[in-house]
Amino acid sequence: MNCASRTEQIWLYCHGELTPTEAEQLRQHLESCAECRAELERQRLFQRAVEAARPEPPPELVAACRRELAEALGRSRAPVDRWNRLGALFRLPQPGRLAWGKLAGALALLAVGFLGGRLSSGPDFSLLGRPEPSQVRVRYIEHAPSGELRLHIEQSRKRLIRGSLADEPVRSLLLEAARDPIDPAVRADALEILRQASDLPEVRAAFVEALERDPNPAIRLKALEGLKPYTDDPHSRQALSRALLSDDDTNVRAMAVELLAASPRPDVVEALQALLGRESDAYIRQRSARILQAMNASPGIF
Amino acid sequence: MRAETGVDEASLIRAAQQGDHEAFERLVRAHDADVLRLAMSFVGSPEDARDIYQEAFLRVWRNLRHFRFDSSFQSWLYRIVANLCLDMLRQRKTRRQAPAVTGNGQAGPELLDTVPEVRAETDPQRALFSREVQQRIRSALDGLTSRERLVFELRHFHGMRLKQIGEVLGASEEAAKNCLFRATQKMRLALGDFL
Repeated sequence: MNCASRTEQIWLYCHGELTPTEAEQLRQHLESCAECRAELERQRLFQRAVEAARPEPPPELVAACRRELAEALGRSRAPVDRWNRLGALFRLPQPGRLAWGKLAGALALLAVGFLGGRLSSGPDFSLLGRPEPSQVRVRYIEHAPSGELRLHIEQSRKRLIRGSLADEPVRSLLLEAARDPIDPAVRADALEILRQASDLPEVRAAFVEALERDPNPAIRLKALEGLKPYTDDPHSRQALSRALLSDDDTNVRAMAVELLAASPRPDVVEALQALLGRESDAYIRQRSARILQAMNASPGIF
Repeated sequence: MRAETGVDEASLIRAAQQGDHEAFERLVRAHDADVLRLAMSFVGSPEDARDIYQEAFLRVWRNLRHFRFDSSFQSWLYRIVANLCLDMLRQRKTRRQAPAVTGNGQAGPELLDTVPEVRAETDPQRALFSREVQQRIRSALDGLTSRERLVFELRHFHGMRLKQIGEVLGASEEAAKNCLFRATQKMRLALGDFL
């Protein structure tokens, strides 16, 4: 196989789509072929540039779409007859299903009771805004011997919290949102806002946690943005070193090395030396070598 | 390196198949930013992307009971979104409206004549993330066919493997690979020595 015909193989290698045997053969070839190594670097640079151009939908648009979908779902039919959400029962009584109609009526009364109670009891902390309607799920139903129905329900309530980052309850909720297990858009929004309070240790800890644990590389990049002003902070530096050594996303590692380069210190020498032995990306290797050079440190471990 | 979330998506799907709105909402929230990204990038206008978002998730809700876990939920969802995007582009073409994807269908230097030439800067990181490069990449994407663009974006913006791209397209992994390779070559040609 000549080098020109290896372009597709190098491309597949960059995408992690070669078998382990094919990848090993290519690596062996790369060791002795400068032309193919150059092609590999070109492809990696191209890939990183393209991935950096990934569009991000504005959070307001995501929020608007969710609102519209919720409204449209209220008008839509369910995939099965059983409805779990009370609001849907109100909007979509199932024709010909008398028992469900009765249940809907019973639940409606329950909901009015709950909602009325909530509205009359008022907010339960000072930043709480206008409560939104309750959501009730029936967990199970009992038929009492007397004929009475006993509905065991679980209630959740959406609420609007108003305030600023200076308000501790708002900040606490944002720190929770930064760990949201489902929605990366919520985590991204929370971290973006929290950047304005990154002088607080708990906020910096949230950035470190996001950098080390978030499954989404875009969120980890956001966490790095948050840590940018704190490259002198020992905890932040340790987190940057760990990301440099263990993160599987090239952009995250590239940004971590940039931040460490901004303030080269002896405490990262070991991590950078270890990185030089294992990093596959030429740019990151080059930057690491330059930082070591700036500190008069050896590029190898002896 | 990491599992996407600690939540078992299959359990959410099964609950949603039983009519559980909360489970469905959690599924939507897990995927909707990606759906919107794909739609916006494809059809251009945020308003059209909103329509596609809504129609896609309504179709998912209506047809979820037929989902049999033969493919991943994400592949199934993306297939719906991709079909809606392609339908919208076809309708635009039929109505002879100006498409949001404004490419001339060809990759090459003429596509980029209006973009001022900016050579790579001395700091490659800075050059890589510069606005000029990113604009140029978006222009070059316009030069791909709809199918090539879809495949390219699924790989680079959504991190899909070739096998999963094949599932979205309803094609073989080999067909997905060939399409992606063609798209990559066109993109590299269009970007020239910019990178």
